[in-house]
Amino acid sequence: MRVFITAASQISPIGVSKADVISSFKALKTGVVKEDFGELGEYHVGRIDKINEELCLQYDIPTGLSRTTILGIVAIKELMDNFIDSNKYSGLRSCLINGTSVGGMDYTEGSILNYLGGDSLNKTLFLNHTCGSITKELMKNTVRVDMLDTISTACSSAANAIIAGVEHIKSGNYDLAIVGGTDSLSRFTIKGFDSLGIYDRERCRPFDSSRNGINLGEGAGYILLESEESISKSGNSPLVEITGWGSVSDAHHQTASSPEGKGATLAMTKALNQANLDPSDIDFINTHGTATPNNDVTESQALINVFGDNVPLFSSTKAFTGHTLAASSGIEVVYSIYSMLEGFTMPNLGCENTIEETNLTPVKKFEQGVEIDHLLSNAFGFGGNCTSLVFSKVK
Amino acid sequence: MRLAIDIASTISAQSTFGADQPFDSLVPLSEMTEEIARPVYKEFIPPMKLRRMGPILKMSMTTALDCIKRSELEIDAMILGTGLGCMKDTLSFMQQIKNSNGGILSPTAFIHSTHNTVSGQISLNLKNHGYNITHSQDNLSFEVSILDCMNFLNANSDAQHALLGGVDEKVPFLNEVKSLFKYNKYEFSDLSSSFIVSQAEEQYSGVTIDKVFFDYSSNPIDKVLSDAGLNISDFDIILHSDIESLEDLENGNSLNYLKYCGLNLSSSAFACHLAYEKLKRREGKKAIVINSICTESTGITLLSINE
Repeated sequence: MRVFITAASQISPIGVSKADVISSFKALKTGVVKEDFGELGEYHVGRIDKINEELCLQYDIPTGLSRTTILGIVAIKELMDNFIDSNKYSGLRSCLINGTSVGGMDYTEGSILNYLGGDSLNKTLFLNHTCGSITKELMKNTVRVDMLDTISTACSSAANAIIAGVEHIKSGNYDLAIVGGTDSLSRFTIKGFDSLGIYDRERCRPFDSSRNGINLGEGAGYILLESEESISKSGNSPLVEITGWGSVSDAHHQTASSPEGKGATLAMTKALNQANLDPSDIDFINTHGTATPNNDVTESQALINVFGDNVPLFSSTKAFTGHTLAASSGIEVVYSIYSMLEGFTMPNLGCENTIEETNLTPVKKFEQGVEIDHLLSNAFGFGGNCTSLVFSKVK
Repeated sequence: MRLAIDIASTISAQSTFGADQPFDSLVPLSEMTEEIARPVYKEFIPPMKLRRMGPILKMSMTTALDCIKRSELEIDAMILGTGLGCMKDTLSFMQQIKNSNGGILSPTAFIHSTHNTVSGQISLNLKNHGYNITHSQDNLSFEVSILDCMNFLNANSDAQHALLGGVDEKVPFLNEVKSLFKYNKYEFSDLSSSFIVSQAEEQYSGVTIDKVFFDYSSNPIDKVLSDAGLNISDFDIILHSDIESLEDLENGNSLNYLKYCGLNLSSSAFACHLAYEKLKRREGKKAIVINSICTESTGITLLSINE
């Protein structure tokens, strides 16, 4: 059974619409800014330049929700086109599978920190805290589905949500799936990555020899998956097809990838086998490319393991958005789909000199008129989870 | 597609761990005079590693290793559900943020705070490269994990066995938010249930997990059941999360598992293990687990013994 993507939407530091995203890539204009976090210090972060109140007003979202939820609602409303003509989905069984790493932490951490300092806790805030509650709120404020699920595998959460959605459709459980992820910025994650020594105090530089860590970012990205039968009823047109996927465990270390890139190699190989494609069929790779010393060299090694001397065009978009954690693979899959449909390369900012050990050069420019028939997208998370997805033009 | 349960292991507020008949001596928590002793974790985990582990990791690693040790089966995937994840480590890192005044913090608690720490650490311990997923859907985390597990085994014909689990830890902080929970008359508890499951063939003669249903309405349970096309009288083992209308059923084999398990977002995993034991002993043929501990969030799991 074939599974198609019939819609793709996101909100991220480089905008919301396809036009916004293309415009930012074309102008090589990053959404990463330096922000003052008071006592915590200054950090470069990927910021969406609208505060919660503005987004709630623009998209008719109730106030009093975590920003993680708000961003997710925005992206799903954009995806489902504000549910105009929602009758087209009646009779179809649907699910919503959401990826998030820290849920409503942006909303609750202030109160929890005060409580840990001896104040009383604002209890009701906690209703917005859990990963599962975020997904429930997404459904409450967008579209009623038959099943909710939240996957939390750190930075590969949205990719795993996509895979879970594909498997649900293939197994016949559901006809369509809204899948992706959302995460907002929090003191918890900023201080967390800083404590690991992998938060770069400068702008992040994926695949550059001087790279020194991530910048965090916020956003949400979702795609609509449909079976062929679902498409015949909904009347939607397929954008691209998801042809391959792999989700495995590196089993090397909680926070670092194995030097030989074992998990990444395995995930990409699985995805290619599933898609029935040779490595040489891949036209572009959207890498995980977080700009940590460890990720970029191990991912490069994995690319060499799979593609040998012929590593395709590749880039990381994380210097445009920061690392949006659980949302990253959702957002970047949306960018990737745009790049396939419009035929452009996603540029990699910040790479001046290649990594010594692997010597791979990412695409640095925005170029149009590029044929991307098959694209591969990677996402790797703490805990050793490695995912790889293959998307193919519909022929 | 049904999941055959090959083996199960539970650490809970009851003396379920390491017992031949894990659910034989159930005592209502309200009548327990002292807490059950924790398992001897160092029989499963080397002391060096154990020192750095919080409760959620110790428990889930132990029930997982217990299943693997006793069954001697190889695992092709690990699929875990947790409602709250690693609360202790999360709060510990937040305490550091509070105390720090902007300095560099120790990363250990942050590293262990991600929800998938548990499944990641188990795969690390076993050097297992299979599919490794963590679901976190409040009280339905175990139920969505069951479905994912069914999909995985169905889609991967070369995969034989999967480790399926539900785990949640209690931390003192939870008492601050107790009033938000429907069933707050029960105390929070620690719980980890691990199962090794495989795809049940047609002629399989053991206990299977057969189907899972979800309902997000606030309808009474009889409407929820009828909407799912289910008739309570079809089931001779009924395990429910303190649902009043199910307490005094005529067929008599109805049990409120919260009374024994306590308040825990993974409590349906405890109930599924209990159902497995009862079915194995032929106390009934068809079991239903009804999990309604969060508002507008009901999961129904059907299990049976096949002759």
